[in-house]
Amino acid sequence: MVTVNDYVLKETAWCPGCGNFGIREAVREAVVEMGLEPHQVLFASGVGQAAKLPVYITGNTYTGLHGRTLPAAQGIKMANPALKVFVFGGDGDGYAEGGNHLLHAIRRNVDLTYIVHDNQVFGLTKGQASPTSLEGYIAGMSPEGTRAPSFNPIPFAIAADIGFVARSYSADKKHLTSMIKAATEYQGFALIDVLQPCVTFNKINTYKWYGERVYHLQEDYDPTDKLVAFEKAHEFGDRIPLGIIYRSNRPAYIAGEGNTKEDPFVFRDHNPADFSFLNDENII
Amino acid sequence: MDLSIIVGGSAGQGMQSLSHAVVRAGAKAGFHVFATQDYMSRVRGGHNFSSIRFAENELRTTNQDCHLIVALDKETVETHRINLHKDGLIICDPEDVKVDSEMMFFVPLKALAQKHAGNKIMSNTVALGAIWGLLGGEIKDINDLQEQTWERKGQEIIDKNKSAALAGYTYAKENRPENFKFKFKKANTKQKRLVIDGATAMGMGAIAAGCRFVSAYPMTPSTSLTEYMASHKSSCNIIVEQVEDEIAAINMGIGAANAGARVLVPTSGGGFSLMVEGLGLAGISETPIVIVNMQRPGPATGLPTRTEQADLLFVIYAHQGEFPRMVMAPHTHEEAFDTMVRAFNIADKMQTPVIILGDQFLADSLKTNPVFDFSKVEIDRGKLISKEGGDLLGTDYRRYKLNDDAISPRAVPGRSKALVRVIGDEHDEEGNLIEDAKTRIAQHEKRLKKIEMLRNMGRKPIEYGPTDAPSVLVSWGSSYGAVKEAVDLLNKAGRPTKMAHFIDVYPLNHEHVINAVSKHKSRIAVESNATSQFAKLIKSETGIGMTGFVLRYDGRPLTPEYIVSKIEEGGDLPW
Repeated sequence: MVTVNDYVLKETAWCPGCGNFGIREAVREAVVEMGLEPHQVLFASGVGQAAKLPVYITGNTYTGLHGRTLPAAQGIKMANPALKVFVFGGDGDGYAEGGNHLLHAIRRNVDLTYIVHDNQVFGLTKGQASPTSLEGYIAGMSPEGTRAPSFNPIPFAIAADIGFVARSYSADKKHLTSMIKAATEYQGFALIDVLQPCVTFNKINTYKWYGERVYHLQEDYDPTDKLVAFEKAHEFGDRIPLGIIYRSNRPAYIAGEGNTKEDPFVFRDHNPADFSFLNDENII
Repeated sequence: MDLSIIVGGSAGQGMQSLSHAVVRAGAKAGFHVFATQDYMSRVRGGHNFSSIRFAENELRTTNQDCHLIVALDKETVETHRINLHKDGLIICDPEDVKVDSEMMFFVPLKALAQKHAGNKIMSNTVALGAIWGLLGGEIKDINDLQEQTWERKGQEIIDKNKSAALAGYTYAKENRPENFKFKFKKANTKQKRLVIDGATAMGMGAIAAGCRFVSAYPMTPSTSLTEYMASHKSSCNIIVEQVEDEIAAINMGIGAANAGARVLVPTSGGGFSLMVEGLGLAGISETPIVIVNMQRPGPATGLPTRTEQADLLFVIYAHQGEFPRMVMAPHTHEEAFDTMVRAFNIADKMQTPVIILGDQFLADSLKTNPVFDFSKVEIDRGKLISKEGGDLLGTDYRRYKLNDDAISPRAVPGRSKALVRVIGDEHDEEGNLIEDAKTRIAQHEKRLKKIEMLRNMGRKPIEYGPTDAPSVLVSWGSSYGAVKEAVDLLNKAGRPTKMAHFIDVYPLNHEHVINAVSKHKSRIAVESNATSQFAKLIKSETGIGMTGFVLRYDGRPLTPEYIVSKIEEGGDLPW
């Protein structure tokens, strides 16, 4: 039986009080509750403070390039469908550098759980505005305040016909754990936008700011109604809903007919002589 | 016998299918055939042509001049009549081309197709028949080809095509000008052969090597390789993904490679430019991956459908920082197959990226080729750890373990109990992010040690011609056929010349260069680029400079005649 002790938490370089700690704990809870052993999971990330999560926990890990984790994670999952693949990244990584990959990961629908640590600011590079920073946010590279409206990933994902999208909060571990489990159980591409205070650089979207606004969606909320979900997805102001905003039964993309968990193409024996039929196609 | 035909027309006229049919009919007749494709970057209109050469011995290039032109439009006549032999002919339909001259051999292609096959659409089959009639080929070759080509369409279509071909054949025989002297000889080869382009040869090689994953974005002239792989995904168990951009292509490939797949990423120079950050990630994360760059003239969009060898220094030096990579440039269709297998084996053995430099000339040229012997293909996955091996190691596994030979045993995640930590940050043996100087030096030196190992794996250049010749032509990649024939022409003209042709171009093996190049008084670089990139590489690494240059950068392939004429123009000849 797998326990939390199988997932060793390593020493971090995160600031004390960082929202990343809560996300890491929720991830550990979720994988243990789902009975997943470290060798069955893969934690993937790029570059950024959020992207260090895989580095700070036991498991198979892939730490690649800033903004490019989704293509890599899809490659891993397509090659070995038996792996449970979790992707971590910040709002800069996912919504700025990696925006195009997010759009197409949603469309492609490979079975991944994508957790965005959304603190509405750049942490690793010390405090620049991110796509989700509120309009007018003042920072080193935008001294007069940002000009563009804040990017809201939830309606974007719904518009692209995502199969599962949720919002959670790093300080609400129980809720976040349940969202991670639900996202993992969905067989397809799932996005969880996790609100997360940056205690060092973001002096606006603090624990207090989020605490005053977030609320859990009621049980009578129907996440399968796309139009209702689209409206709810836009709620980001005085009140911010947490929960599964939208889900559909859109089937996951299985790359390669017969490329199953039990018998992936990649691990099949290869005998070159079996392919000499390729000569026949072009023979004269 | 050495006969050449140019088939030209605008896009959408069926020029390409006619040229393929001519090549295949030549193969049926037992000739060696080689054909280049010269097309414009447009779907309709423009001027496209194919240059098709027939001989009794192996061909690896075409030549500039021809004995017969099939002109589907007037522009073909205007553009190519200067290439036509003085006793040559131009076949065309009087409906399409209204130019009168002694060279013209009018065949009512469409009218004959309508009359004998009931449909004008078969006019190109009439043209094929007419070529055979003029050159004294056997109608059986054409009939056999129709049976094979239209097998799935049924007997009626086969018969109609046969009638169309016979109509053209008979017309040409009956109306053949008496002074037209070019004739097919009786072919000697009757064994079965392939008709393939270079992209197909590479695709077959990749499948033979056990490629299981392809990620790509469409880009001419690499698309035909990706499409070959895609058309075999079911029969050969390959995952082929068309992705959103080349950045996704390389990163998805790196992901799949780290999950255990043999990965191929085909692209052209522009796409390779986007992949550069991923290339470095493959280097530092020690990921085996094979990237094909089918070169076309750049920069930016350049000449999208034409050929060049101008990405050599770019692919060698691309990326910040230092890491090992190997660059191979196959010189023939056969070698394109073998290079693919070698690239996958070396990538796995060295756990680092291998880049194959092809180009539009190699990718698109069609030729008759011996069948490939798949049973001779050897697979070497280097230090890949089996499931059992990984289970034994469990949590003790270290992905970047320091060894005497710089290569760490490679487990893949999820395959066993071993936990695999792949990382693009500098790291320790286990794959943890580090910043200390000692670990950095140890891991960096471990990776760079592979550069010398790769250098020693490099193939010797192919040397051809008298070893004591005063002159050597130094070339690489797909220009092999043209350079080799240029060497023959020069030697025949009493100008002793040798060829030193390189396939493994990086890391450059200095000893190979010294042995093959340095002894000759006159050293002439022959390259499809304007800045003699390979010559620069040789000079910078060995100090050996070239004394002359034959450079072509108009987007057209090097030909034997072009090389010889440039050498003669260059003056200061060593003979």
